[in-house]
Amino acid sequence: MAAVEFRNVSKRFADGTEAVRNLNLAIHDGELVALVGPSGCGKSTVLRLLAGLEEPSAGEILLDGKVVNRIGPRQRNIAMVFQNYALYPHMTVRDNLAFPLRMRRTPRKIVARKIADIAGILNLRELLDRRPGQLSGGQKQRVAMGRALVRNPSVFLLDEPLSNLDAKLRAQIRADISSLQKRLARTTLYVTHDQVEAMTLGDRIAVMERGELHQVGTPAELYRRPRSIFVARFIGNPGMNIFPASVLRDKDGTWRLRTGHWDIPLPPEKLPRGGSPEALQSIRAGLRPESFGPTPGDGTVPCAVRATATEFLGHETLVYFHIPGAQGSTPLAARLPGHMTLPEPAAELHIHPSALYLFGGDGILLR
Amino acid sequence: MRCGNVFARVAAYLILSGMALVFLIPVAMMVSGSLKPDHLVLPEAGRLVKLLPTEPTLENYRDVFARVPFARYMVNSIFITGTIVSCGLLVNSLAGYALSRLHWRGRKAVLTGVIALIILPLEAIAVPLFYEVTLFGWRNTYLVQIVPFIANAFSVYLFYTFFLELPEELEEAARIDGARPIRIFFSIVAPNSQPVFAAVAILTFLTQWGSFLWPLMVTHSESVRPLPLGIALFYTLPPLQWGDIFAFGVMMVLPMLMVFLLFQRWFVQGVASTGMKG
Repeated sequence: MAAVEFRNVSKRFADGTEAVRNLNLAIHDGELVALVGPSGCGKSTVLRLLAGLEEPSAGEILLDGKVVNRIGPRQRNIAMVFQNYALYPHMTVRDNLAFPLRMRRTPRKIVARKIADIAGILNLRELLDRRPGQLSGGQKQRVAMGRALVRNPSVFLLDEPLSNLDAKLRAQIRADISSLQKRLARTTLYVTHDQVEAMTLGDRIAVMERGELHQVGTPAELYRRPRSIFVARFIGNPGMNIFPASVLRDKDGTWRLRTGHWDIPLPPEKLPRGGSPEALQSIRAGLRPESFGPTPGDGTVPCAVRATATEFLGHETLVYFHIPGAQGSTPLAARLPGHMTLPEPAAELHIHPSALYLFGGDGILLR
Repeated sequence: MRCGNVFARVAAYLILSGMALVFLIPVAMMVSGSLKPDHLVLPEAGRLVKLLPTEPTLENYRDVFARVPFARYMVNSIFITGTIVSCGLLVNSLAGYALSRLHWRGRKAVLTGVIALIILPLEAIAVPLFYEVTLFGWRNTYLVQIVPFIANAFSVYLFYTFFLELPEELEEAARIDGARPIRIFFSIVAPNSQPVFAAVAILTFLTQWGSFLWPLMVTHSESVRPLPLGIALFYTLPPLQWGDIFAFGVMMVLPMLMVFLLFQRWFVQGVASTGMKG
């Protein structure tokens, strides 16, 4: 067991690319932190820095309070599951599992016992004498997990471990990882570009973009209080709808959000604090797809929409629409319950003004 | 389309068979000549209809053993070539690995040097090398025929390019699992690089088995000389008997064939299963 901390860590490669910029992140003992972001955002580099496969250009990496910048992977007692599993192709599953133990000169009897234990936990008993080439994707994945877990590492790193599996298997192994993590409670850094994996597995989620950490928090915090447009769009599927809007004060003193034909009174808790009137003229507003309703409710405001497409997903329907009279070509998405078709292109959806998010011109959340 | 395919296939086979014949006929003539009585070897050479010996005999083979110390040459050749191949595989593969995967100062300069050395033929350095080994007092030994040929720039380069293509994750996984570079090399890299080891083994063997100039320069006693110098001895032993030379040739080629058959499985196989996705 171990706690991990990144203190002002940066990584610049020889060709000048800065993969990680001033990263500050703490992973508590026994916690699973999911590191998410689009490809090329630097998340895998963070993992490799922690594994000791890369050295930071600046800052400190701490394992249990000790700086490990100059300590090689061998001495860190960290295990890693690679995206393509990286099983040793010329060894049987048994030898693959035994390799990390043999490297630590573990006595034979203990090696055999540990392999039997891990094979039991991950259901690998029948596969022990096979070679990686004879295994399916899901089986390879389990062997890779087994090889990482067998030597009882203090920190467990997973680099997009499900990205090579089909959707059904992915859901199953995701559940397996979740229950394994609950049972073993290992300090884990889980890198993924899939926000569903991050939301379902992470005790906390860290969102990265272009080498910078945008926000760290529990899945609920990130969903409810995204700090920036980037996080708002990244968390949730589909992500938050973002559209240009202006905030104006009426003659009667009420604040309203206007875009196209929409005119929504802002509740007191959404009133922007400070900010020049000019800045409030061009803000960005956000609404989650699930904030729209097909029928009026308590305190809701009707909003005219011009539907362009609907996708029936069984238990819900996704409706894509434009705001009449508003500029911008990207359609917005609404998630409606059941099998729903909007009767005509011109229809009405209902939102609660408190579901609105307001972002400044720099993309940071105002209210 | 199908017809065209069949035609292309037939044409390809015809061309390939023709080329195979060009290369195989001299070998067949050597085998055939080695089984003919000496007075028929030259008159029938070059006549395909006479390829099959009418009066097959093993006389030439008996002659070889009677006239020259063939067994000595064979043992010398096997020892010299075998040592060069096995030591060469170890040294050159380690060098190739260090150049492709380890990070050290001057790596690029050394790699450039290795590539530059590939084009340097033995003939260009034979004389200075001769002075050097004389200085060491190595002349007329096994050592002088082995040591200069263990490290080989072309072999290093072959290993280097092959290792560059190996998935790096395997080695990173081994590093995280606690293996040191030398252990990673022997436990992970080498077992997954059989094709390049086979290719280098075959190429080194072929070059060294036929080596003539260098042994001629640095050795003078039959006790350390290899097969190519043995075959040359016949030209200095009158009467010149072509049947004996062919018989010597056949016996000299046999180990080459065995080595090729032994390694060609890996040579052509490639990495069958890498354990990686895809």
